[in-house]
Amino acid sequence: MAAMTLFDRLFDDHVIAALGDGVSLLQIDRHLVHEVSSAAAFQQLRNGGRTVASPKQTFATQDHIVSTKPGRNDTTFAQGIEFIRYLRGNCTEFGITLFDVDDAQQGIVHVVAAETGLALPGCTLVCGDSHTATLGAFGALAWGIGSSEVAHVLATQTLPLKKARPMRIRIDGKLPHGVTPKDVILKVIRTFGIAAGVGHAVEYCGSTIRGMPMEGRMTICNMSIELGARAGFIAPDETTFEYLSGRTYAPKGRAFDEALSAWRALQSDDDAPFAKTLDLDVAAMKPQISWGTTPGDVVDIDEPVPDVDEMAPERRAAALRALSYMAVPPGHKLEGLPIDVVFIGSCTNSRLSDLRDAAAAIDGRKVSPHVRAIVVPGSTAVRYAAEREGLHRTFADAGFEWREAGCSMCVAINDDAVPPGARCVATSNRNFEGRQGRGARTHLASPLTAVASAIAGCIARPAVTG
Amino acid sequence: MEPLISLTSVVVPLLRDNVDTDAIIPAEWLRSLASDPGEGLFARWRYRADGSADPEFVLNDSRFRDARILLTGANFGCGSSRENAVWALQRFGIRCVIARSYSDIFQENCFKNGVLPIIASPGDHALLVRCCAAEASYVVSVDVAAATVTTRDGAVFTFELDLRRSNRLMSGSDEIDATLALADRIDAFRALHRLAKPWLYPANGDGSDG
Ligand code: SF4
Repeated sequence: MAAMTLFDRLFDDHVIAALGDGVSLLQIDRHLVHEVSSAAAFQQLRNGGRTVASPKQTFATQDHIVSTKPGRNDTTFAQGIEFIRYLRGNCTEFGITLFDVDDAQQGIVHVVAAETGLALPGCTLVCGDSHTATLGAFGALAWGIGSSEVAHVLATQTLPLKKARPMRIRIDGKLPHGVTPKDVILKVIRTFGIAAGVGHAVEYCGSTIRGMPMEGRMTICNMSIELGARAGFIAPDETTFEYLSGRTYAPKGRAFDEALSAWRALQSDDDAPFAKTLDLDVAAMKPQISWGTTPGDVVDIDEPVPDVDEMAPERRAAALRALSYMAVPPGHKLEGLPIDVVFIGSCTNSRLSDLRDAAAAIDGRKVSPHVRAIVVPGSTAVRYAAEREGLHRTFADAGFEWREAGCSMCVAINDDAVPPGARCVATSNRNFEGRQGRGARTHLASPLTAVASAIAGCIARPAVTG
Repeated sequence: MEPLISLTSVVVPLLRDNVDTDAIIPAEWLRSLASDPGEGLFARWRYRADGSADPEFVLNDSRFRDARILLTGANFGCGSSRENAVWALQRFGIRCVIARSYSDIFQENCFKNGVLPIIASPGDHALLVRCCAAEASYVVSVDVAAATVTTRDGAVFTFELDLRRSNRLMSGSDEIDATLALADRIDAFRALHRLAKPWLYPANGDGSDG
């Protein structure tokens, strides 16, 4: 048999029918929905007089617009009520499991899908949010879809999809102190470009990836969309299986053993043909931070922002525009630039390990008095676990706000927004103009850099960096 | 979906690369199911902080009020998967975008809503940019069946459009109906898939396949 990539295996295993022009009708094993992008889809479903084809493979959570204010409920953010209650009603009527506002399993959809064991190796998983590739970390084919596609999956539990081209990114080297998986993926995007993955499905491999726990792998896969790829994934291994064992929705006992033998076959063959292969050595890299308004506008933390005079004319206009929006003079260093807000959260960096690392980095110090710093756990389960370890007190004592789980300042669709003109160091994944609020200036970085900056009151490198 | 067969319209030039969906429609325009997405189109650029129209922004130029074709740069529609970005364009009246490239999700969302995302080659793109710079109300025609763009000066260029997509655009047919017509094949597939991978079919909602 011809050598196959993992992507071929994942895709081909789900083809129900070839529809022509390279499009296949794919079986969808897991459909995750959230209150905002599902609303129009449920409207469409109802208008068409249709029903949900496979409610037991559909799971819902409230994360995007729900307030993250301590003690929040349905009505804390008034404009969210409509979405929250509409999703609740739809889940009740169609028999979909919902992790509701006050549920211990509630949280950011991609965080929840991992920790409940919904994302399994070899499954196809979709959600109406572009960061669904996060769950590719389990060796799943996971990708983000639009509302019409959500309606299609609700109605049929299938999706027509044009097969992407397989691409491989190999990452090798031991991460230096103070350098995290977030820095690695920022470096990947900076090095290969924000359109490098368009039309491709990206398999991440190499010694750095193998050495990462599931949380780090999720951070890597999460930002595949910032590389232009809809799906990014990692072949499952013992780390994956160990993480899944005992999770609520993962198979148990004999079923787990049976699954395991199928999961072990989810690898690319040695000589499998990739349309594109890229390599990155991270052994000597530094913490990364974004300076502009696309996720490819990234520098080393101690490096000046690009000198526009040296740029090609077509790049220069965009760079000047970005620098002016960000109020950073060309050629200047970001380090030392005063900041107003720090956001630790989002599906990129809000898991328990991120919060542990952030809390440890505080090291008894305090948030600078002019900085508003917030910590938003990725899920209510993460929040409870962190509270059991006392992390919430560490954050509160240092002057961080400790909030309820949700997307929060990543998307600023509720009232968690960065004020106009304010500068924010954020652990989220997008630094577009206005992403965190009108006129907000976002610098993407790791939780360690975020903590160091909160304490210094300006952009600062993690204490442990050499 | 309203069928799209051909289109003749003045072209709005928005000559930037990497226009993301947060720019096409900012998050605060997603807060109500009832709001008109057309009003939120490019809101951060179209309206000043006090809510008034910014005369500097191209969409506020009265010559483009009825434009149905948008000309832009590379990687248009990158970022969030929000389909509201396409709905915003559509409600404003745009039925066709001409760009150097698109994000995959945005492109897919366009086809789902009867909006045609054309990828123009560097040469064709440059030609259109020049034409629009030379004349502010530059008109072109798009023919879906032939997959061609014809400029007012008579220059014609083709673009790639597979048969499946062009048929769907021209008929305005519903993709869900087309899939539901394959119900037998879907059921047959699922029966086998379930036998081979029972753990993907939680019957009891707790990972057991009972
Ligand atoms: S945290 Fe941000 S990127 Fe992640 S699911 Fe929520 S809105 Fe999307």
